[in-house]
Amino acid sequence: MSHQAAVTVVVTLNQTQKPILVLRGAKFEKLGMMREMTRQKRVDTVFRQIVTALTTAASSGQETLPGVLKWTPNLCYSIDIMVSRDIVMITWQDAAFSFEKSLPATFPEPRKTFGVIAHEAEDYIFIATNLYQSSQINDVVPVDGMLIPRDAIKEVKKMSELS
Amino acid sequence: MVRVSWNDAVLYGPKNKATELTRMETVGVLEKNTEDFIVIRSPKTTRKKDDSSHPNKLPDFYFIPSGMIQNVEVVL
Repeated sequence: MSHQAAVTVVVTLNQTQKPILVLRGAKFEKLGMMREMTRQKRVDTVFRQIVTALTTAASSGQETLPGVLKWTPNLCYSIDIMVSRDIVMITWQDAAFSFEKSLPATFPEPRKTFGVIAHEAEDYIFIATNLYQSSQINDVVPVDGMLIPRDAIKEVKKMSELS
Repeated sequence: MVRVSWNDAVLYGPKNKATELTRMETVGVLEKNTEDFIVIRSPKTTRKKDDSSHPNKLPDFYFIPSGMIQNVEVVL
């Protein structure tokens, strides 16, 4: 039997401030403070709070915690927080394959992908290449993009820095 | 023969709100090892999550960027 639906995690900035995010099982409620934090680009703080809250739930003996924890990465997209508004060019090396019978004389060139960095994870950067303005949250959210492994990235450059 | 475990880039879209890189595994003959790539001859590449082949038709060479590689092991 799963108790996941009964699990509730409240995320707050600190003990004296209002909750910014309430997780009830698989659902979440986004509260006003979240939008303000988005404006302040304090995204990392939000996710630290989420992880801390879930970890606390774990220490209290919630049997379903692994099921709750797996929601954490999804949440960062569900709430559609944008890290930055700068348009950047990411130069990175993609994998490739060849149907030539002999080894090609030249190897694949690095790719250049243009967009807005929507999220930075430990092992990748999520660059949004197509966004829309949501009237519901009064903010832009990613529609299309790419998760690029960090170690495959050669350079990240703001468009304003390109000559 | 070598087995290369690596993380591929992932397209994000309305039908695939990806939140993690795609774990891949390529088995084949080590053709070349450069600063930027490991090149595998006669590769067989599979996505770990569903064991599907990539691409569907087997290529002759696979270029795996060093920055995507997690592990390389010799297999018999």
